[in-house]
Amino acid sequence: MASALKPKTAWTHIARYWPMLVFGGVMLVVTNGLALVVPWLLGRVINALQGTDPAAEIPLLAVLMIAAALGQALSRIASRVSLFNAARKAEYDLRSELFSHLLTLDGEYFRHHPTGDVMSRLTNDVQTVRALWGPGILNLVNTSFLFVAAAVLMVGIDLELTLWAIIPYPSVVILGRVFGRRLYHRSRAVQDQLGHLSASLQEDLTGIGVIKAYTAERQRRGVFRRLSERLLDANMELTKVRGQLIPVLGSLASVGLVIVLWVGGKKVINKEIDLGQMIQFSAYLGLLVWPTMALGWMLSLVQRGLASWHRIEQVLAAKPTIVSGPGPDLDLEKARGDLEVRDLTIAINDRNILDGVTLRCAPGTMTALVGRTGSGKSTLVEALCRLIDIPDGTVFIDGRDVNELSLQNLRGAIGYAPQEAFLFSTTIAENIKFGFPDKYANGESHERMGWAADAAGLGRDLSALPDAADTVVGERGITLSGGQRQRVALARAISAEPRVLILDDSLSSVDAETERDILARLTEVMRGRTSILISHRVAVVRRADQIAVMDQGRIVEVGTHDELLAAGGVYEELYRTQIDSQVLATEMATAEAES
Amino acid sequence: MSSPSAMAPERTLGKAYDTRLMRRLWTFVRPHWKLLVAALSILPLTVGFEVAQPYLLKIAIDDHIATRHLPGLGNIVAIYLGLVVLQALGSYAQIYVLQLLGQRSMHDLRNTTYRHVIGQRAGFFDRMPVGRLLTRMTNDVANLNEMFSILVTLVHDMAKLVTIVVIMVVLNVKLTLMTFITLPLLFAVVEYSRRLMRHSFREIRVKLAAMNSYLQEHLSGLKVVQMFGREARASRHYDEINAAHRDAYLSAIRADASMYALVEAIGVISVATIAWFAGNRIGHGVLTVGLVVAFIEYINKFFIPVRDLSAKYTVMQSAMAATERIVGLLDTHEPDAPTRHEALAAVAPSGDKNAVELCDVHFAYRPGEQVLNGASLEVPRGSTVAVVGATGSGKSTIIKLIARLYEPQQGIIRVGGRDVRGVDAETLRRQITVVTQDVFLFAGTVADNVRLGTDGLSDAAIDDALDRVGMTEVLARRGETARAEVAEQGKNFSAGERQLIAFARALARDPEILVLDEATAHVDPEIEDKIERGLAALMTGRTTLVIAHRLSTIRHADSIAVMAHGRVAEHGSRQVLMDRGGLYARLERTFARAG
Repeated sequence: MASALKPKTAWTHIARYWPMLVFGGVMLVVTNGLALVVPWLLGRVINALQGTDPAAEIPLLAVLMIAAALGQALSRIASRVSLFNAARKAEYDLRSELFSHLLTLDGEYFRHHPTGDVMSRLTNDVQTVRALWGPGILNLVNTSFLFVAAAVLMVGIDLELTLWAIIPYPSVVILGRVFGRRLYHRSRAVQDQLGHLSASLQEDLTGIGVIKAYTAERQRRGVFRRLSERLLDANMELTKVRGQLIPVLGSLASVGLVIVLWVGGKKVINKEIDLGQMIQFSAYLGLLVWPTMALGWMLSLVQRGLASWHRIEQVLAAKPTIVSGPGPDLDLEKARGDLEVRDLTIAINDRNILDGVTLRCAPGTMTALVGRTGSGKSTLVEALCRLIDIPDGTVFIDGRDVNELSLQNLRGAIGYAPQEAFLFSTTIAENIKFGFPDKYANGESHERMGWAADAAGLGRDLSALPDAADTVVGERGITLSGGQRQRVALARAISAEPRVLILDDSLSSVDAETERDILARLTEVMRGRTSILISHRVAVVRRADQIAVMDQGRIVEVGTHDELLAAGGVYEELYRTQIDSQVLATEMATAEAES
Repeated sequence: MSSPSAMAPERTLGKAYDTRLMRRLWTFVRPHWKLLVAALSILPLTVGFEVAQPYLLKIAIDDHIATRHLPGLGNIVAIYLGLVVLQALGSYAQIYVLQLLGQRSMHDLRNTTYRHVIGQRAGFFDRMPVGRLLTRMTNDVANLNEMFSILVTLVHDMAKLVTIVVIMVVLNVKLTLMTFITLPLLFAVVEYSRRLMRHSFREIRVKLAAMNSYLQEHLSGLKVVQMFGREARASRHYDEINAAHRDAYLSAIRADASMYALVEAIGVISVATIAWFAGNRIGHGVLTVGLVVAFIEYINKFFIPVRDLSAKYTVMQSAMAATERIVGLLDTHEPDAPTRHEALAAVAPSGDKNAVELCDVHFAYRPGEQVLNGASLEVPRGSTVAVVGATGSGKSTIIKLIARLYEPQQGIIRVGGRDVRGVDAETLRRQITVVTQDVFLFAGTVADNVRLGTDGLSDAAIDDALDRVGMTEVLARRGETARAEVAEQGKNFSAGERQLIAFARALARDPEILVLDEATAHVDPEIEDKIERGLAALMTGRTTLVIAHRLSTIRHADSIAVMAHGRVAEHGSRQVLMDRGGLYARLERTFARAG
């Protein structure tokens, strides 16, 4: 019945642990069975107390009661441990599955799903679903068993009394539904207000510089205060419902006991039942108080659990658009790094980000991409390593359509240092080693890391750090400067000695002198490799074998620096109108050297 | 790092109770003491209504059922019912008042924290990730609110437990002693489980925090993970933390289940004990069946709150950790532009030739990485000074220092002839308006954004400002007005349009001094012209310091300052600099050659 293709439901993950669930369920029934023995013993005790020789009867009853209590304790521990453990294990599986799945999704997915939202699905929603599996299942079994068993036992004592006693319970069901709906809506309202508050707060924290520069503190404080007040109001609306629910359910359960006292008391007086039976009866009813109170809570638990599962399901159902091709793979040892783009067009939201781009990068050459912000340079290099989805037959490496290759293979051939140098909060060494596979032995891997760091011009920076390459970066460690971060990212990109190296404006925060130094070293590293370089600095660009100028998604000019200047087109204009800080730096360095 | 919370959010966990933290929280509750008094005065009522019920049961059994007195039973039942209703009403009132108290205190705490955070200096925000601050002010505050409810329940439970014991003692001392013969066992169980749980919970929180930050980091850096094909490795690491988190929970579940089950069993044992005891004593003196039944009821009421302690303990644990983090944040004092230096404030402004003056300014963001190295610059009143220099030469830093977002380590900065340290930050920042490259817009309307920091601005003034920079025209072409909605971070406007709105915002403030970081990137040519004209409108008749990236801007400036290595290397009119034949002259020649 359960085929692999069957869509996952909220219960798929927990169902894997069915032996634990069955065992836990059975233990729970045993626990409740023993719990039902206690009222019976209690009834006997009460009758014995009224009898002629209580001292003779009661010790046995008391011993039985203690035995039941101990048995109950053991079975309760067994049931809770096995049910809750199953839920935690299923939670672990679900988290793992979600994380691995997210790693396969591409930029397209994250464009529509902000990180914050995905995070909340993996943290809050997983917890809520786990609550559905753990306490949810436990209470479901508990409540249904207790209600049925207690009802049967109560009927066994007196049918009429039972009918009287359960009068309040239908209203519990109705109230549960009404309150459940209200709880849901008001909880949603609180979540919404919290969302507004967070969004505004995030904005303020991101734009703190503007707030300070424009002395807008008071204004923004007012905005925050208003949002905080609205959150307060929403919370109080929720409190009204919650505050009613608990006392109302509690008193309904108590009303049942009052009815037993009245009707049962009459029956005892009329000798239809004895006092022991009445006490026994109300003890059964007493066992229902907690499940009744928990009913409302359980209702919202189930509702929220299912809603959260729905949100998780959406993540699991998201299919990556970029998947590995059928192969066969390129032999990376022998690859030449011959890149070709043929009439590539990419549209996002009906706008052509790339518009019929055709470009050839011969093996071992350096190509520079220049153009205004938004002209499509970054999109083009992302297309080369399939970070965005591209049509078949548009991008080739060594004559092979990149869509045919496995992602691992293609990306293994390319080293990419993106504009924004993203580093993980671990050591610098680990960040650089991230660039090549784990296959190397410790010493070799360390050597490779050191070589890449040197090539990226990190040598001097590392020796100035407290633990050199073993210094931890990021939130928990040292904050590197923008230029240092970029150089670590560059070291990571070259560490695997890729056939093709792509630098997407990846030295923009590095000061001019250092950049010159790094590029000089890279020339050595890149000998015989194909490289693509995006830069705003003309002094860097001019050394390229070919310069491709992009404008509005098209390549408008291709040629060497001198050719393009002579042609007097877009490149020439860019070159003349923008003060290039690199040129400035070069000039300054020369001037200083001369003086 | 000055605050422990900044670096080690989960270092000091596990102290379930800490007077220092509680005293700190108390300062937020104190202003609402009237609500607290109201809640505390309801407390005896709700407790009284509840614990009177078993006593009524005793009277019903002993005086009416046992003596077969039906009318009297009716009265008791009526009173009982009345108590149930009163208890429900009382509980509702109590929950409502306490929640109001909690919510208002949390509202105050949120606002205080917001104010505190916004008032920190720029360096604080460089170090503190937005996400973490956001968590402090949303999740952690919400967590605290939950602790508040728990604390209140604890007070309620304590009052109830004490009252129950008092009533039991009054009813029958010997029976009470027999009941609580199990008390040492109860304490032992509770204390032992508490210790086990404390350890597990500490572990759980550490692992959960680690798991979430790992997730967050890998979602942000997903492109890097995919580009280097390290998905499998990331999944493996995540699973390690995930498994540790699960295992920590498994041991917490064991402790929790044992405590729950054993406390429940001890309750039944207490019942068995008094049954035994009563069996031997019944008929001698005051011991009656009704009394035994009432005692059994009291025992039930006594053990339920104890049994649920572990659930409360869990919440307390995480709430105390949250409190600690919030208090840690509130204790971080890095005030923005520390209070006015009175001695400097008393000094009369020196002359009025220069609007802005820097004398031998030294500055480093991080110790040892000097950015400014004795920079001196004079900006005469009413003139336009263009600053040029390579990346990292310290141009942008000058802007931040003039607006006093950072404090120089050495040297003096004067604005309007006054040392900036002698002027309070707000007055200073009203004199100067800074327009940065990356324009930050807040969600709201275009008008709201123009009005940023100037509350009293009329609609006409806003329209006028938009008009003068040419934005009205741009809006009209979009079919919109100043009332147009701005999405988060101004995403629905192009970079050029955002620039124009920023110009209008600056213009509306009508500052004496304008500080401008010209955009490096080229935007669409259509809007490029508008930006030049808008800029001209903004600069007219104002002292302007502009970090220039375009030759046209430089050529229109009154004087040019060339920065190199954290110093102003040359400063003078274009003609003077050309004649001097220094750095600037070289720069111009290079461009002339290129052209």
